[in-house]
Amino acid sequence: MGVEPGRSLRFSFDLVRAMCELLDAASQWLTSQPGMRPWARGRQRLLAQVGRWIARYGTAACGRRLHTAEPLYAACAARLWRCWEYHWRQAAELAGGRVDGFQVAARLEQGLGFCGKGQLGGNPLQDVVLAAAVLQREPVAIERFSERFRDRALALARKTNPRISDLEDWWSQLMVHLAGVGCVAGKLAKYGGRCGLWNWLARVVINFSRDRPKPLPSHSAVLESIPAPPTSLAEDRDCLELLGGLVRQAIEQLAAEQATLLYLLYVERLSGKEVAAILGVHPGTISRRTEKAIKHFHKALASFELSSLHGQGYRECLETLSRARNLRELADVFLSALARSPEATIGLAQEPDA
Amino acid sequence: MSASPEFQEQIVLRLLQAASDGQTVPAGGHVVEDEERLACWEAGLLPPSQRDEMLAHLARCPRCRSELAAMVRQGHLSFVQPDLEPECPARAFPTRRYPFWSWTLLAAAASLLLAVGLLTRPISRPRPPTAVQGIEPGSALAMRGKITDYGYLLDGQSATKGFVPSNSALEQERQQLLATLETDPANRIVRLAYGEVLLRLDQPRQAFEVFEEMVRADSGDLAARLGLGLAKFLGGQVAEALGHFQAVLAMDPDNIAAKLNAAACLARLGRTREAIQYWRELLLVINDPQLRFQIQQTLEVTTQSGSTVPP
Repeated sequence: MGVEPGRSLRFSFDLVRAMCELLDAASQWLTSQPGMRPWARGRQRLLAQVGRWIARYGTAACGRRLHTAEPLYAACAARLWRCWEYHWRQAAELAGGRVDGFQVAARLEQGLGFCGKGQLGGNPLQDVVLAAAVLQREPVAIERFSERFRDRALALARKTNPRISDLEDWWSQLMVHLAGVGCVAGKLAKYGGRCGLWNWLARVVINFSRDRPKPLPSHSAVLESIPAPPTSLAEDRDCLELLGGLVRQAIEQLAAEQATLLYLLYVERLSGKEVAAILGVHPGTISRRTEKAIKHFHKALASFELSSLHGQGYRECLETLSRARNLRELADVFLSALARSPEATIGLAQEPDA
Repeated sequence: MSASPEFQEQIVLRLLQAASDGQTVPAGGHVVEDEERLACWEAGLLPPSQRDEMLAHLARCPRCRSELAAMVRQGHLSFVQPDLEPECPARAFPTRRYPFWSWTLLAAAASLLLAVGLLTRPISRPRPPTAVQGIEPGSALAMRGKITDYGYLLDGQSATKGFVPSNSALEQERQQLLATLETDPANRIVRLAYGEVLLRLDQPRQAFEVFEEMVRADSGDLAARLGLGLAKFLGGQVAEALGHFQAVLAMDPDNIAAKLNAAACLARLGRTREAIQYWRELLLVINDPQLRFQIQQTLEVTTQSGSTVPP
């Protein structure tokens, strides 16, 4: 058995070149990290580490040693590096700019990240290799993937949607969804190791099995879905569109968190606790934050000058939809309603006698 | 007569709904479709900057808000509660402050080490810089300044697997390099890359001419000499290729690329004992586990085939 210098160099060049290009793209940042200077040496260390991971995790996933000439080898290398880089950058950001990447790697291998509790739900480095191998339809990898996740995924799917009857068929469909079919890439192609594979898979399973919400309803559908005030004036859709645009402009002037808070509370009708969880704040602070958001909304709304609005549409709408004579009054009405204050007495429209 | 609070609320809700409905759905990916980010968000693993990005998208995208709210309402998305927020992650890498005297001690220790090193260093001829593991940068066909450190395949069968370069892409690359050479003929790196592309295009004769010209200009150019050997090998002139690899080794006995390729030529020429000797020497200097594994496998197969292993 002989060595083929020319041919072997060709393949190694391709692989190493591709990896070097990936690393070089981040060289400016990497050289600011400990142990990465000189860059040639730093890059060598990174390449060697990725090679070691492929040897270890590739064998674990595929039941055989991956060969450098295989496309899977290159896929694993690229995914491993992206995963490592993501967590490394995150750790560096949290630690003030500089972190030893090999310490990051050691932590990742224990399934520990750098945000929150840090529990990634598995070793993402091992998981990205397994994901790549399943995408390449490696038989052993598919078997190991099924061993690890099938039962948990089925249990979650059953809980999410009790109407799933044929679980075997559902699992097969999920595997096609994950590994892709024909030229359609599988969902696993999007897994980048930011968290453990199970954390990611649980979300995919839920989305795959639940009754997805209907597409965004049209404007008319929205209006039909809300019980209309029993007045013909408030049903004027043109007025709603015009004033809705005004409200939107005011909300757009708020901070993203404040706008999200208002929409989630008042349009999506989530509870304060649910909104607090989404925003990552203590439920006890939600009322204070809401109050502040409404205050800013009030200011934004009040800053609009009626005279600066084009045409007579707004003026007419204001006059017909409300009894308020200017936007400040309208803002007050908005605020009192948003705050659900029973003391609000400013007239917007006459409540019908009926 | 004024409106009741409930009536006012209904109108305001309709206006808010109209405002939300009138929002333009932002282009690009939706946060509810990015399962990985959503999973990280749910588990409290998103860094603040990414969480702010998600919130900014939610503020603008009625579709994502609606789906997210539906998931929360149905119990399909449950975020880590803020009161469960764990330790500050930055503590994973604590910043230590060292007292002033420790720097003084360190400086003294460094000076001592330097002095000892200068006194005890061996006197030897200067050697080109060598990569920590693998192939010395300049000798690995340079790769336009990039280091090829490992990945040499030792089993001939791998050539049938992936990574077959696209000829059209290579041809385009060849033309670009040629154009660069016309404006900058003295650029050694570009010329090396040009020769390498010719090798990959299976044009060993043209590649040989390129490398030969480089060697004529600088007889000590190890990378070009290595290229000469590769061109000869691809052209089927294995004995001549061996001569070029050995010429490189004569100038730089530690050149891993030359030794690997020389061993390949020796094996091809049936001089197995010498090839094995080279492989064994290589095992002593190569750190890359993949390459070591391949060499060990090659050695195993070669020795099992009945050759006498030198001591």
